[in-house]
Amino acid sequence: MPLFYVLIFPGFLFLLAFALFAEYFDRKVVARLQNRQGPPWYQPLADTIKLLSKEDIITHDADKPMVNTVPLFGLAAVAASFLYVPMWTKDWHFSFQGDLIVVLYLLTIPAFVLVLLGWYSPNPFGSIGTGRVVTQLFGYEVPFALALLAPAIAAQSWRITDLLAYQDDHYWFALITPIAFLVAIAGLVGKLERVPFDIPHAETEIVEGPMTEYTGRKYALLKLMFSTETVVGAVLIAAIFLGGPHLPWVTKAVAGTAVAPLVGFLAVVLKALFIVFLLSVIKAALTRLRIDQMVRWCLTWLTFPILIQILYIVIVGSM
Amino acid sequence: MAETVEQTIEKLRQNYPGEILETKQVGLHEVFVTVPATYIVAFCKFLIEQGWWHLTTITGQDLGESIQLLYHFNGDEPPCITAVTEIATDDPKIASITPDVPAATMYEREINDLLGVVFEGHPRPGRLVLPDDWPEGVYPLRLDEIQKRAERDSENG
Amino acid sequence: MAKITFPIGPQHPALKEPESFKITAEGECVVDVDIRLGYVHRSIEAACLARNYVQGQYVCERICGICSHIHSNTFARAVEDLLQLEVPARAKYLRVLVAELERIHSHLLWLGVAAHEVGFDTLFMYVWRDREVVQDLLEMITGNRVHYGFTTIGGTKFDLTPQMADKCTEGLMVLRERTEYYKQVATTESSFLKRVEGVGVLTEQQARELGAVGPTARASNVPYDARWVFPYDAYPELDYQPITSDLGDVLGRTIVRVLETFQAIDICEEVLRRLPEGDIQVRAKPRVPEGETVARCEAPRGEVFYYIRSNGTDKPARVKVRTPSLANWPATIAMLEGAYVADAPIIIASIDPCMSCTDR
Repeated sequence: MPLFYVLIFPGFLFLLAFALFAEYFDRKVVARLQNRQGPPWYQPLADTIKLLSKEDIITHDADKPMVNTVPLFGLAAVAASFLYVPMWTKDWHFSFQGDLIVVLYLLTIPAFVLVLLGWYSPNPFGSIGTGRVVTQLFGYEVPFALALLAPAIAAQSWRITDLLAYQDDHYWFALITPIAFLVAIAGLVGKLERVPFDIPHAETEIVEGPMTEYTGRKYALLKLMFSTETVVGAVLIAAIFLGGPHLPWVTKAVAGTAVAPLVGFLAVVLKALFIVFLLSVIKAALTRLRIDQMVRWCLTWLTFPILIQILYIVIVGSM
Repeated sequence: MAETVEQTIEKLRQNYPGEILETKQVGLHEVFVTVPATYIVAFCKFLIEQGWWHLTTITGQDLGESIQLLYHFNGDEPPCITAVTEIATDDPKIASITPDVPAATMYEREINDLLGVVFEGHPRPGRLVLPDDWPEGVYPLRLDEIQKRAERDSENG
Repeated sequence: MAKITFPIGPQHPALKEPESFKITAEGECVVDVDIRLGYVHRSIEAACLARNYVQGQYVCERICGICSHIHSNTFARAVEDLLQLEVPARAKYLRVLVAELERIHSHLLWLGVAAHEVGFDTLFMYVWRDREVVQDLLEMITGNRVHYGFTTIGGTKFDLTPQMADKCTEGLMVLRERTEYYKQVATTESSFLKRVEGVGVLTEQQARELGAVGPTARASNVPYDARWVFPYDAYPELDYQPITSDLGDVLGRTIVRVLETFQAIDICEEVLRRLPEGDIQVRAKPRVPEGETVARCEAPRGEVFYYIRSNGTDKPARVKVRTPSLANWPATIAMLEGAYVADAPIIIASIDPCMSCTDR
């Protein structure tokens, strides 16, 4: 049974399906906002299959063992983190005290994967992209982590299921700590390297940044890494700020019945898609920033407000 | 029109201290002024001081015995001045005006590629339009090259 | 800090056409730029020598896919000057009409490309959708979306029917409304402004010294526009002023181009109102008398310059083309030096470079 959980549902296979669907949803929303038709529903799957079947080129000067393993490493980290975000109930199978920290840690790994990718490929665009990944990491990572920890401080637990229980009893954290919610969304944009923070792989400047030299299978894995990270990030934020499986009135009405997990599951999926929708709107509405502008913006509009938010939580909590 | 072409020619002849070989009107408001190749830099500087601040381009053409260079200048109103000078095809060397007229840099490099004129004192010489593996000493706009191409084309139909 | 040299081009997502810029950077700061041209060199100047004047005009039209009308128009004007032909008034107005429609389409195209370069793809999609309006007008008038083949030596090839004129007026109204919206987006959207304000500054003195032309020069407060400085075709009868900006940065170039789009719409409407009746072309002899001449036109990107020398046959002895993009490269290098690497694509794009024009 644990093997089924890990591999099929809600594990790796479901994660892939959900990630591909989220990618389609994102592309379609952006396309409609840009007055375009957008791709058909199977496009992300077709892209992945096509990339997987393409020739896998490794540049002559690249470090072969590293180049071969690093993309797998990134996808594995994201897939592992997905096990700890509750998909339909607050009594989550894999939950343990401190799982929030583990998920945050695992979600940082893709950034390091990109750094290693750029570092071990002999491409100048890769080197510049690597520099930008690291610089950008300093911009968003601290506020993102703090934004997710703010509810944890309020609920006084490092366990995601405890945060869910807290939201069941009180309000959703998006209402209790709205600043943290907004900062978490902005941080997620930075983590996923989407417009306006798609600086590390800005197409018109440095081609694909660290991923410039990667083709075929490896590129497919990297693409999947980003789309799964989108889903994990969206589900995580949905769980921490939007109550996860909790729906006002409905959850109470169906509690204990056989449909309760189904309702919870649908609630999580819809909330995650809502987060993806927010990301798509941000992508369609904004221009890419420059790396120096991005770091300055993150310090003033992310780090500073989130510190105030935490201060507020600590003061209110101690009273 | 601020002044007629005749007035401009008169003014040029009076103000320019050096030698002017020939002047003629071309088109509606263009004046072609022929000067010796050795004084081209001085004349271009003089034109810029006189208000023809913009170097439109430099045209180079192979006339057989000599290569003609036309430095087209214009100001904020007509007429425009073109400084015309000729150098020998056997020894195509002329002073570069780029140090004094930075706008000339691309035009001089292009003429160097296509006609083989050496611009002495160009701050950044080197190939511009021809590929790296183009043979040395073959200049596509020289008359002999044009002739060769025409013969080749007629052979191939 | 270690210097790193990396190429933008000949193959790069930021460039729509191949040309090579070797950028040497210290960290995120550009310290040196080396330009190599010739990746789309088609020897058009030499090709003209092997063809007669009528064929030459078509060859020259293919120098550029965006400002093709300007090239054939300038070529025709130079040859008409050698032949001492007087073009009918109606043809002069029609040439202006197509030239200004082409300017609208080119400036809208540029706005979309510029938005794409800074990652603002939504504006890019919107602008290019509305650019189709003017493309349809051009197709209706000339029969083609590019390479119109509209001008001929001695006049124009096609006439404008009253129905076409009505459709033009309608299309221009749509364009004016849409351009109003893009002007508002491009001058107020804060994340876009962050990427264009103060980027790629070219001072007025630099613009003059480095021989910049077109919107690039006018955005640095150099009021040089061949349409008004050396009026040709019907321009002497149309009373407009060059549009300038004293900002000197990419934002200035954006504003100049957007305002020029409005001006072009105004000019088109005035041309449609004042279009005189009469013939649209006079017969031109195939043999051109010996002589040399110069023609200057204002393309969307700046002044286009033609020098033609004829030797009395039906083929020219020398055709020299100076395109605005080539004139703007020295200024571009000056803008790039000291800029951020991230700004290099938008700075290069800000002069609206046309590599095919550059190489010929």
